[in-house]
Amino acid sequence: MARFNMNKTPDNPQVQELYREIAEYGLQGVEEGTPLNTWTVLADRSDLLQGLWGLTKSVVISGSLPPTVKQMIAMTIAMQNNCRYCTVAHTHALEAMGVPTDVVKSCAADPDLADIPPSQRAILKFALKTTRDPRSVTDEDFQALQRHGLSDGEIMEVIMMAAWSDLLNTFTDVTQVPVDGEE
Amino acid sequence: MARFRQILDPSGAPLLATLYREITDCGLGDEVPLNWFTAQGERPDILAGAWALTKGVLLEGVLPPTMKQMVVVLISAHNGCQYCRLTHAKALQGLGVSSDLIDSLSTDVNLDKVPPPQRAILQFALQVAQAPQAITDRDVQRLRDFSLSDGEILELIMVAAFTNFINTWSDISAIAIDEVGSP
Repeated sequence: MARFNMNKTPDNPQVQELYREIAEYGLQGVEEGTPLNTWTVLADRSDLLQGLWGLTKSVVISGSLPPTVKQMIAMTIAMQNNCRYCTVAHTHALEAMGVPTDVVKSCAADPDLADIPPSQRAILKFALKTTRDPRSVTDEDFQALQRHGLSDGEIMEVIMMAAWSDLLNTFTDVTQVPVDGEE
Repeated sequence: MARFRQILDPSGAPLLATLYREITDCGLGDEVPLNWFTAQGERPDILAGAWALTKGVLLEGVLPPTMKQMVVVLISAHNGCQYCRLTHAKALQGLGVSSDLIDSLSTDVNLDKVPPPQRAILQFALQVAQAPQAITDRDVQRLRDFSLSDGEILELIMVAAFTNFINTWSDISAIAIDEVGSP
């Protein structure tokens, strides 16, 4: 059970507008026009909601890396952190994008990521290291991504995507929001 | 040496120029924003998101700024992130907190110099950052017993998760400590 009230019908017009936008960008919960449960615990804190959504929109929704790669990053990190809410949410996102089931399963269950194409595998390994121990990332790790053709801006996006995933894992773990549709 | 090119002159990139102005207006830098931000200069779209998060979580909100900066220093010290520890220690100094108390955040694991309610808040935040799944209902209740509202507790969780986020970027981008300015 969630540790904080999940308000799906906020009175604050600014929060209503944010809810609409979040749902429209694909982060819709079970009810039409309402965002996923994670967001609904922030109904009384429009400042935090606005900040988290600003980051999410830039790093997860927009950007230059393929959306499937970004969702794979979120999924593998959620698995590494053992965050069930995020694992389920990003599995759904990958399925909705048409990613083959064996690739999704490999992200979830195979530490070697054997079914993932090499360039994507390099990105995922870099992202996992970023969240596990950012100070252990070396210049060689950067070069590995550069060899796969990533620009500095794209590497930045991988790092931000990893740090975002970790932040969301922490937030959903501590708030204990239930998986959408399971409450 | 920083691993990303730091953009110091935003002219020619309108979004970047606007963001830099807003960031320095909030005191996070002098002529240009702090290194943490200029190292994202190649990707104004990402900086826009990271800045939205910083504003919503660190600069706005209802918890006292000293409390939030103490959380950032404490978690950064535990994560071994020198850039964030020193930068936010400078912010605490600017807020009039004694050097003695600031230093104790990095050196005294028992936080003996911190009064009990604040100590409970800091210990909770550190636990959120280090082991979010170890947080229990009792931990949350303890903060309610210290008269924190749910909105304040959500803010505290966000500040803790945000600190891991900024530590990750500082560590991986390998930015140098700024010579001037502080958040």
